[in-house]
Amino acid sequence: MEESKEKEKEACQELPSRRDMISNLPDSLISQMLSCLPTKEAVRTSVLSTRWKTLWLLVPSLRLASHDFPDYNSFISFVDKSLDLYREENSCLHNLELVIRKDYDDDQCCVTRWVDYVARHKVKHLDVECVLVKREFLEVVPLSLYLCESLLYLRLHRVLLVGSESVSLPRLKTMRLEQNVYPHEAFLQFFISSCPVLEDLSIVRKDGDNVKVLRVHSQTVTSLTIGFEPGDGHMLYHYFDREILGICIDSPRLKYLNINDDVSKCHILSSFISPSVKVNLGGVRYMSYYSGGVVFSNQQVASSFFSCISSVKDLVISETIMKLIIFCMKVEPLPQFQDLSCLEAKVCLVDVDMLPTLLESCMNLNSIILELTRPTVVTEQITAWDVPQCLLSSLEFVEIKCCCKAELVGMKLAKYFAENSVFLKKLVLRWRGYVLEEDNVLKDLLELSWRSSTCQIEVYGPLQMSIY
Amino acid sequence: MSESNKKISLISSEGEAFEVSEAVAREFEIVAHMLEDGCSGSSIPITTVDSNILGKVIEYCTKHVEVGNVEGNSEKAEKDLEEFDKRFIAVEMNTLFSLILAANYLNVKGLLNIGCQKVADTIKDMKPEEVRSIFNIENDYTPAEEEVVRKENEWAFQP
Repeated sequence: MEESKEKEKEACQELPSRRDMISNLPDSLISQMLSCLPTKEAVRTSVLSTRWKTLWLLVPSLRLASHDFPDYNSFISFVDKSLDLYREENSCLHNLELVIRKDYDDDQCCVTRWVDYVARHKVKHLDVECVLVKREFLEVVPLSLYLCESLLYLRLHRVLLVGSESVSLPRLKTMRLEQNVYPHEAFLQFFISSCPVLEDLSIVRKDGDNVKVLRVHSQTVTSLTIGFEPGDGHMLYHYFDREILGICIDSPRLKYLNINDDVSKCHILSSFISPSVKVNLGGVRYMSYYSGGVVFSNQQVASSFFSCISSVKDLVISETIMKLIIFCMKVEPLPQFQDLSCLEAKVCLVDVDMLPTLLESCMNLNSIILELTRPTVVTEQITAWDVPQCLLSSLEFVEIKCCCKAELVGMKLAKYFAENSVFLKKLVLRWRGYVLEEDNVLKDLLELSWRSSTCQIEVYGPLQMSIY
Repeated sequence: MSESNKKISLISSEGEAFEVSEAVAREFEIVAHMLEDGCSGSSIPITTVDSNILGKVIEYCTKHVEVGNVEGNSEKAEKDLEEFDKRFIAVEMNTLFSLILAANYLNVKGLLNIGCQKVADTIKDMKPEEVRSIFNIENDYTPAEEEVVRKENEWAFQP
């Protein structure tokens, strides 16, 4: 350590100049550098030298967390003081990012007046997160924000939006609305529709947010993420008990749909998904289906779910969704997913046996990425598997990711795909544990009797990677 | 397209000529503006940037133009470009500041952004004493003055 420091010093001294280049940069450039830092770090530069004393004030950005202050009141007074300075200098605050956690429920409100100030002064990027605030103490977003012409990015976390008939956010491209409370369902729909260039929308719902059906009607949204957070103090079982919420999407330009919510509880009301939409259900962690047993297959939600994904080309599914599919499969035959071309799935090791049946339903599958999880039971059944149609006609890409202790199953899966896929062009195998060595794996794979004439193999162990 | 085949010479402060395609030259917004203003000459002097730095800026722009032209597989392309940026900007301090100044003068926004970000990343989580020593900043505060500045925003100096 010492030695390398010495070397560093020497190297520096060899340079033509040991000048202080940074302090000689124009203010505008220093300000741009400091704007990449949280405000706390930028403020700290005031002590470097007299040149730096007030440079941080040039940064058109405040990024603060109340817990960085000794107490809530000193946070409030710092923000108030900073806003006063911006006001006096008549300079703009383009970026305001606040994480607010009150010491007491009835600590003074601040969001309304701060947001009102920046909304009237050309804010471009606004991110307000109120941590763990109870519903009855939610802070109110000022109406001036609804008419902020300069806003490009908006994130609101646990605040109260009140109704208004005039909303116009003509430049807003990215909006994240998380665990907020709305005046009523129609307002949220109206709010979303009032953003004429919105592209990226993410909504995390919560209990009692006054929205039963989430309606996303937008001509411009390309990426939509929907999630749900259990309400304050609710236990997980309440999460399962919650009412079914609807989603209604009319967004013709949608490319990515991410659902991080219990799909059996979000009832998709219209068959909106165009085949080109990449549907990501990889974030779904909780489902209320399988405790209910057989009843599930009769539920409307199952058919709603399958009709939702049946025309999708590109699908990512979580372990939970995989369980749902496998559960349904045991009750009745799966529908055909004729359009499905790319599937990315997490599969519990205990469920690996069901793969051929699932693949039988994906007759035109071109690419599959399997991530093996939860190595509780080692399955030995793979040798006796059927060969589904897609292996004989369409499958070209297989990637298998193994969690620790799933390596042997991963190898068997690789063997299964290698020996049965006629048109396989590339096989990738990744693993995390140290039980396998890349060279040996490669050797073993090469010795298989490959069904396809040419196939690229890549293996990635925990340390290095090697490509054949 | 005939336009993309057109070559332009950029002349460094030492008088060395760098021949680049018009698409690459247009990544320098200052050049793009000159071209739009009807400056049709095929060689453009960049008098404030030396050959070493100009070469690097051209390397950066060339890569970004190349990647921008490839269609499909945009996620992978983006990742590659990120990797390229990371490697590209990992240079010693003097070069870094020369690149930032050049990017600012030539108005190459992407390069300016990654340069400023790199400096910010260096400052982040450092004590003021360490920042001073990395950048050779001379502390011209008296101890008493420095104490006053620290007191003023005491919260920011707490870990």
